[in-house]
Amino acid sequence: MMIKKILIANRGEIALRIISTCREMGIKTVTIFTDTEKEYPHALHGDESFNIGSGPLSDTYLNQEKLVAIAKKSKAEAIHPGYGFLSENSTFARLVEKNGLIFIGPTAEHMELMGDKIGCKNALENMNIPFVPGYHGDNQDPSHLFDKAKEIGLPVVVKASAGGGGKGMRVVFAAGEFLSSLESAKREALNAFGNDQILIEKYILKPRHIEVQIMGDTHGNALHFFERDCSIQRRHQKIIEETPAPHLSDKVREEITSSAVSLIKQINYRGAGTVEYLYSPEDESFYFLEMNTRLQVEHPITEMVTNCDLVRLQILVAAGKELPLKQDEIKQTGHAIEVRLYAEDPDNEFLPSIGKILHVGIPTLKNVRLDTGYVAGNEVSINFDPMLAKLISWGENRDMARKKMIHSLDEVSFLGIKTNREYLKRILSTPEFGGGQIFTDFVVEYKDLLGPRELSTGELAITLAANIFGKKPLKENTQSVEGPWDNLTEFRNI
Amino acid sequence: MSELLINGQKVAYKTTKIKELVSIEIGGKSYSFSLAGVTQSGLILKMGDRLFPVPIKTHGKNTYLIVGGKDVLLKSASGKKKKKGEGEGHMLSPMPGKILSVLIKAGAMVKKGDTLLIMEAMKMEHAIKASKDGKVLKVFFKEGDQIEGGIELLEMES
Repeated sequence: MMIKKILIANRGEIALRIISTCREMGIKTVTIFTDTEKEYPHALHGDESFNIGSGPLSDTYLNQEKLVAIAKKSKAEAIHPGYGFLSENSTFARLVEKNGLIFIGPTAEHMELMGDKIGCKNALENMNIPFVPGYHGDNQDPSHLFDKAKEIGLPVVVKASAGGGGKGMRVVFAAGEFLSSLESAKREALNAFGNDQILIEKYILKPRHIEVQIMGDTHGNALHFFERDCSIQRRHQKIIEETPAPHLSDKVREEITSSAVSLIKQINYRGAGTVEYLYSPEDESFYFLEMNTRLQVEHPITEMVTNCDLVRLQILVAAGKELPLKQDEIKQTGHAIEVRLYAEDPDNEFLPSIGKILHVGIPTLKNVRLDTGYVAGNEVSINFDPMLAKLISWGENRDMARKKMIHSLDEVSFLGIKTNREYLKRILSTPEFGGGQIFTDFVVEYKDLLGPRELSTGELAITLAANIFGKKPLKENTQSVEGPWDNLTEFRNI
Repeated sequence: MSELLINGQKVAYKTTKIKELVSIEIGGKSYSFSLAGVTQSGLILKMGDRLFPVPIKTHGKNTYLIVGGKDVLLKSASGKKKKKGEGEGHMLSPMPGKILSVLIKAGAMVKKGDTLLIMEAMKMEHAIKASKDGKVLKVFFKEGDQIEGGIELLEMES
């Protein structure tokens, strides 16, 4: 069937991203917004928009009944959940389908399979999907654990089953250290968690996060759109992603993408998904981490190098169509990098910042894409995710994409809010990042290289001069700004 | 000499205006600029033949700029008022959120940098740390409380 109207059960940049593909496909869009978001772009740029009130998220963006009722009232045939919110909620997917609507995403069963860590591990190990070698058993006899460690191969991590935050965790490099490390890990685990059950896993030196974009349809086709490297993370959240993954051999690229395709074929997966792996650069091995059953935040870099519109493919698959391309038609061309601009202070433990956005700068270079859900005048509040925007650059090679990004970050200012803009530039400017020497603990390891930069005397002079020149036109040009933006009157109108 | 706060630091400087030129004397050096143009995001200054685009917007007492690729916040030095409680025996919440856990009790002796409270804001956890050594006199909130930004969380002996 043809879908003529879609309810977007999300907000911000992803709502706008979905609207843009729908426009190209001739599909009408319905958006939702809360009381405080009346002037946010996602409330204004669809074909219809509904106010979903205020209060906790369970009353608004997570209110399943309300969203289905709006879809029916607006005569939308399908719901696109975006990412986050209800995108991986199987109850919602079932409710949508029970009401005769199309859920643009996988089946509820696929979400449940991937959402259940243990069940998923058991199912996938039978499908030849690699997991980090380890021992998670109940036999805690030290000599048995030692045998297991030797079986896995040193170095290994000995860690508390109940653990977290590095407590009760030891890395063992030499066999002679094993028993004493085990003993101290157990002691620490008992103190910290009241439980000294230990598990053993292969230790991966400087691991990387590499994921594969996949897509399946209801006709048995399964495709991959190559990999993304999302190793640059702060507090375990991705902040810089790129594709292709640097220093990944063609052989491993072939293996990892085949592994992902084989997985989704075996489970008859439908729609867009991402299979995430931990990659060990030392021995080029990779291990399954999890599968995300939705469109990812970082999907644009894949779109830039493959020239495919992943949202369009999602909609076609949801409408029951066959994927309109073959694997050998999907090519990786050039290199793309995405950075996530957050309202936060990287020089103060990434504390989120709030306030009014006074200006949103627009990138001017070719093949640079800005996905944002904010315009000047919008408030950044604590109610939602602190991501302000995604900036994506494409270049013929990695270094060109990287340099373009560094330049574009100076153009894309969110004045009025403390952001991680400069911090992202500092990461991109390190020789280590430039050389592709990335790993998941990068920002912790190179903390000293990523600190704040002092202003030079010349820069102070420019600041002071700009302040003086900025004040003058204010008086000459102060015209009242009216209309929907009258909360902008406090701005210097230059 | 005038003074302004730039990124939290007091900066002393002297300004001279001669026709279209503004000269800034700072740190024993002198720089002269003219205004070459005005854009949507801010100004373009010129020093000799060199152009310096400067995104700049003002909101209330704060002026936000990007200079040489760096984020700059400029405030008038005299206009800086201490928030109630700041710098005395009080600790303020950095932003609105929820108290996840309270790690100390009234009467506890703490050292600068010790984690006192953990709060959640924008879906992330933040540790509230002691700003100095001393004794905790009062804790005003308990686990699960919703709090506003900029309010007193606890009182310490000053």
